Amino acid sequence: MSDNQLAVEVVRGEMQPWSDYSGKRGAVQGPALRALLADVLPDGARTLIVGPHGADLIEAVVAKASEATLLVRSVSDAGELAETFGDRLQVVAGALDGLAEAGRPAYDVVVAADGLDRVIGYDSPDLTWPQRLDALAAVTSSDAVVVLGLENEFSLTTVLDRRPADQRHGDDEWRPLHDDPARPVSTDQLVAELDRVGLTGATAYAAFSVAETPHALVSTDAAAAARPGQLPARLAVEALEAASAVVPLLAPIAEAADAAARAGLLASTPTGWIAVRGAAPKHAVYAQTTGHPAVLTADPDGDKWSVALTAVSSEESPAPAGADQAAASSAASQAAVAGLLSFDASVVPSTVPGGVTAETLLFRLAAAEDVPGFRDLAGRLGDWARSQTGSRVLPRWDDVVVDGDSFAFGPSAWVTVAEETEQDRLAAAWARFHERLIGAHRRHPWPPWMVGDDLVSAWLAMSGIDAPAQTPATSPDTPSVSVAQVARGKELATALATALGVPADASQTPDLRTALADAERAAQEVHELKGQIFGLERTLGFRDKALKTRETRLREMRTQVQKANAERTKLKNSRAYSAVTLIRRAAQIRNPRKFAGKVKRRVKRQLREKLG
Amino acid sequence: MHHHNHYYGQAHILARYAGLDDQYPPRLRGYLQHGWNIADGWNPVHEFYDGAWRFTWSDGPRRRGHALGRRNYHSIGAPFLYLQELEPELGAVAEEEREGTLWFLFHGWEGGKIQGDHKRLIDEIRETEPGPVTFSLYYTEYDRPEVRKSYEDAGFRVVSFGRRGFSYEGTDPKFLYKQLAELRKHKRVAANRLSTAIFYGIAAGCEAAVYGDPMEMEGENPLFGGQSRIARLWPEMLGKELDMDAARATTDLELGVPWMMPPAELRMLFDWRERV
Repeated sequence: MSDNQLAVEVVRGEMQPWSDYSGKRGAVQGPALRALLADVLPDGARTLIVGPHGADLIEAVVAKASEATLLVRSVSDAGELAETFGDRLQVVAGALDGLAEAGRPAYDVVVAADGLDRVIGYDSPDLTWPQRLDALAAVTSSDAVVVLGLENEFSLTTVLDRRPADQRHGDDEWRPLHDDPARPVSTDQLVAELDRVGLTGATAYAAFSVAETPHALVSTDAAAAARPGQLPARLAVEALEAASAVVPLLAPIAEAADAAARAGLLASTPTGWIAVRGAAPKHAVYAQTTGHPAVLTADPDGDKWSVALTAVSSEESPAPAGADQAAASSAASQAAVAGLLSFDASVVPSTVPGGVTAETLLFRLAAAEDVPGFRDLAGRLGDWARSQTGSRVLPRWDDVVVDGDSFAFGPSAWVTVAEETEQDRLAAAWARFHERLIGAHRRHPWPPWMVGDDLVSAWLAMSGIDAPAQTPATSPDTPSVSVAQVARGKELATALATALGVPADASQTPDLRTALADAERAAQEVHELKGQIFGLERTLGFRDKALKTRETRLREMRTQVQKANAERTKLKNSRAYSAVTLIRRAAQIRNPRKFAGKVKRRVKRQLREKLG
Repeated sequence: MHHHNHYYGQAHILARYAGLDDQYPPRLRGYLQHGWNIADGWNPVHEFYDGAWRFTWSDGPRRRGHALGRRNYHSIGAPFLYLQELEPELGAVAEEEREGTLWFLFHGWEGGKIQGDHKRLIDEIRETEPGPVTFSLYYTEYDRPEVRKSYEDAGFRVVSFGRRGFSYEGTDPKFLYKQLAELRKHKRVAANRLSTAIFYGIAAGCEAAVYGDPMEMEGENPLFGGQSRIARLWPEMLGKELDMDAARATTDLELGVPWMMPPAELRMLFDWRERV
């Protein structure tokens, strides 16, 4: 290929063949980040995008910039992007240090949301992260607006990644980027590095991403202050649970995230950070809603959160490269959800209480084996759910927030298509809770034979929906009546899980601990069933003893009866018995004279009959 | 599952509460606490089969059992409480007609007899109790003429509620019914040790007292701290005149009032669903 065939400008350090868009990793993208960019980028600025960014983000930048330039290291990526955006975007192929050497005027806005790990090629010098930042600063004006991403080496997904270090990264690790000792690994270090190169006054967002898509961007202040079950923590955990579908883990990530939140370390353990310098972001939280293209923004408002939901058009949220499978899966999800649930942004409240979710409290009560407390809370949740007359929001305890003595819906926008009964709405909430409690191997006090539909039915009863009357089974496989009672609720809960794209128990790809715990649970079940057989055998032994005792007693009594009968017969045949009988009969004669008269008359009559 | 579950007719009561046959209660998958104690609800050397569930009256025994390495607990409230719900009128008289004291001698069991100075205890009861005294003896003492006579000679009415049985044999399924009926007729309940009967009595509306020689039982195992631990943990339950508000609060906790559950839930918990 000759240089004349290249349709884009090239600076030193370009790569070909190579793609940062269609390889193992894609470009950074997503509606949450797009919303953040829309808020912080000034209008009419000369803008540089550094590194692989999705078309949705490029579109957002181009829409605001007076002149936009994109630097990607892959020549083929550059060519495709140039074709897509035409003359609205100047695309440059090459390395960042190559661009810095090109002597271009400094840019007013620099967007490097993908970070500085994919900005140099295999022919580039081995620049450390600070050196790459120096190169970025070289093309940035001192008062520029800068959006810079950084992957976190201390993220929960990295700490819990069950793959060894040499298997975590793909073909772009021809040099171990993540082993760079000069690389910042905290927001303080990131901000200090920006200060070092004169880009002072940066603030940062904790980015909770699924692959290259930040699902939740939480300002580091809000993330550090968030506690388990509170809105920012919940959005972060949802994003991390979604991430567990693409990163094989050692242990459930939600548990670790909750622990980090308790320690005030949620801002230290996200998948990465987005630093913003030279502009004030409008919101503390930007989050991509699960299962539907919309962006949720949230800001602290006293002890509440002001929230807003903005729908995202399909043009603003194009399917990422290599996402055919995901798209097919999404289509299947929508088909499964169709007819049961729909997304209705209008039901999202404008404020959400700052407290924890009902689920957080229920988990705590179950772990403490505090059934009375659990029963009381379930009762109050049932009363509250019934008071939501006219609402079709599908209740889920992980999105129902404690609000003083009552509760309030969180920002979930999933509503039922049909008017569902109270029983089915509550059963859906409890079925989802069941999956999240049992599937995650959380501690609870209910025996294994009760786990399943019976347990959902029991919780339903605690929240005011009586259990149906049990009926005698007609065969060993006759299902419990609970099965029918909670069937519709389970259907709704399954549809919700499908819509959210995250299994309710987040165990689509079981982490190692869960897999081991599942195996252990199966072994324990066998062990306990053996114990039950032992117990039953012993019970049978007791019963056998009791039967033997009774049998012995029966035999003794039968012998006694036979003996008594023999003696009675012997007595009856004796002369003494005959004499006694005669005497007894004679003694019964009350009037001897009358008796004698009767005898006399009878004798006379017999004589007459004999003599004719 | 275990024959202890039939003691005092407790399984029978729960079966009735659950809407099932209480003459021949179905077996339940585990062990049912059959008396109050300061351990995990069972004697220190009680054996459990693997995977057995332990159904305690309240949370305290669960916590202590957990510390012993035992798991699989679920607290349900004492069957006596369920009996009270089932029999709201049994033995009940107008409050002003309740009189006398139902006095429970700390009882032995089939494996251990109690030893103590009965004469001295009688004197103390006479000094303390304002009204007539009904003396309840477990059959192990009731059947010992020298023990029973000493209380009869003191002018006490002596009663026994029957046998708890063994190996599913000889259980008087109305044991607790009789006890409840007697308690509801009396104004006070008393014993020489803090014991199940005191809690039952308070639950049945009696004033309560715990005093006198606690006596010794053969083979008694003080593993869990014995009487001195009781004195440290539940001082409000000891003495001749108790603060009844405090005593009732403790009783509710120890008998597990907050842990009671509806019949359908109990059926599920015991695997008593009507399935073959």
